[in-house]
Amino acid sequence: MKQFLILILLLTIPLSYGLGVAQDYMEDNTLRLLKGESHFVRLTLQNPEDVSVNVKITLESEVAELTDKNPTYNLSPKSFDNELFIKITCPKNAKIGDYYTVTYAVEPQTSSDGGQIGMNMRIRRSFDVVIVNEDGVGYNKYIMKKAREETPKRIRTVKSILIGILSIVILAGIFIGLVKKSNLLSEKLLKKDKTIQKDNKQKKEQIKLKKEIKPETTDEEEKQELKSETAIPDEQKIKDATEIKKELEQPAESQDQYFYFHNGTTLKSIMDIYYYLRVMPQETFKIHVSTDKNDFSNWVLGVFKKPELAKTMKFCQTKEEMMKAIEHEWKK
Amino acid sequence: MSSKKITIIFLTTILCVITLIGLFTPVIGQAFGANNTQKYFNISVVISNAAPTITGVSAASGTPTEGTTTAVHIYFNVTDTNGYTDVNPTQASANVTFNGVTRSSASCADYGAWTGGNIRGVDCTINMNYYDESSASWDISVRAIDGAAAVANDSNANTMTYDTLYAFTLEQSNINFNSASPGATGLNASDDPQVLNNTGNGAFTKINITGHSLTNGEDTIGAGNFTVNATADAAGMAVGSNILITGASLSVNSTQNLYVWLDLPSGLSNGTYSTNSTTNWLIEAYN
Repeated sequence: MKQFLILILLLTIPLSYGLGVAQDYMEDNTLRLLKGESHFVRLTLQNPEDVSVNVKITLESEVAELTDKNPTYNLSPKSFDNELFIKITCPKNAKIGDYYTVTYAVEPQTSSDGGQIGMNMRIRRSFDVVIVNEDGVGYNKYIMKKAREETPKRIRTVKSILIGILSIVILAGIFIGLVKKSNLLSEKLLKKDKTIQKDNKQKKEQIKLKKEIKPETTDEEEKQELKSETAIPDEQKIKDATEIKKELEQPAESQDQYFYFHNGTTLKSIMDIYYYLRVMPQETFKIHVSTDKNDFSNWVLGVFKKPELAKTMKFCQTKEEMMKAIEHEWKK
Repeated sequence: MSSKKITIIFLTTILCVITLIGLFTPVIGQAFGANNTQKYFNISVVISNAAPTITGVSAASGTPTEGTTTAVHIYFNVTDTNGYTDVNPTQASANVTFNGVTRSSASCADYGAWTGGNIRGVDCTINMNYYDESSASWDISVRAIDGAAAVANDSNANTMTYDTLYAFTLEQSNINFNSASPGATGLNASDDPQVLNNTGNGAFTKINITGHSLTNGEDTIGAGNFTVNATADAAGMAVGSNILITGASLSVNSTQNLYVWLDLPSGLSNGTYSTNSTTNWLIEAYN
């Protein structure tokens, strides 16, 4: 039977159902003050209704207070000029760009006759007090702070993740680049090692041959010689250009291995070729380099045992090309 | 005719001629270029009207009035060399403009405190709407005219401040539900929608509702049995403490409808359910 019982519900809004609060105009809803400065903000309460109403003001701020200690105001019917003031006092120790939020709420105090349900209304407002200097500096700092704070946490998280991913990608890129560079370096060194090993093999064979010719060569001597030849010191691997250049400046072992020109010029080392090429008459160059022969290449191969360089030089048909080939040898 | 008579006529004629010559001598002398000691000039002076000028344009800041207009006053001086009486203050006018919106003076009158000598003080009244934008940059331009229809204008970067008013009304005093049986669901308030009207020039971006239980002294209908929504198409969210009503806002010069629903618990006793005097429901608008 209970489900047929009748309920009568009544929600009654009290007498005052319109309210307004006017505030001094503030640009961008902010008040810019100097450190330690005080300022009064005027509020004007408006009651558009035909009955008087009591209005309660609440204020939340560490820098603001109502000048009137009694926060309840009786507004006459149709009254629009009920002024009250909020006193703002900026702390002396505030920093430029700091800000303080002032929040106030205005709420009619409705009286209920009992047995009725009241509906109340409230207006809540906030503005920021920004600390600036005499030139207004500090406002931009505030804007940036505010924007940072107002960015939703989710967006900030997504931003952080994106920045993290980007950083990882950049680091990975740098790492891969370094690895690649290191691989290239290793390949170069390996190539060099192979060449040296090849040379050593040749030398070993030569020593073997020598041993056959000169049986008096002791095993110890061979060992030492081999050690000196086969050992590939680390320093050699990381020889810098200067060292290689020095190596290229090493003269041939004997005078009969020097390169003699008909004009009397004598080359003792590979670098001598390089230096002389700068001033070498073209006719002279042509005498020694043509499509059929390359005396310089042969000399490098025969005397200095540098097959790679010799091979490169062999294809050089101009002085410039040959200088570049030699240059490349110590710059590679 | 006797000779005596002839003589008298002759002498009289001579006398008249002499008299006439005497009267017209200067004109005749001038006509014949005579060098007389007395000269006569025909002087004509044309005094042109000097245009009035405007100075001292000012305005007190205006505070909007909830739901209606506010009279703001623009004051200025009109200087006219013909004297202030040459400027009719009722023919003056003033405008304020901001963001492409212009409000013009409803009337202008003499501003006695400034009037005197060649200066006419003018006080123009402009009725600003409650929803006109709050700004310190309402540009003022004023105009005055004198008796000779010479016009003076001034629109030299004088501005007026119009304050901010946060205000709204709840347009209905009651929210009612029709009689219903316990356990009934989806009951609409009989007087939906509940209309909130922004009667100021400040916007509210958010609207909260706080509800409380209703009781008949025996049973209770919890606030959570009520729901509220900004649109009529769905029941919306349960009423509770400081519940942000999704999609509800009050921009300037606009209204916001709220719709209230009720799901009645079963097993309620009959009677009139209400809140008590300390538990009014609260609608809070803020931004």
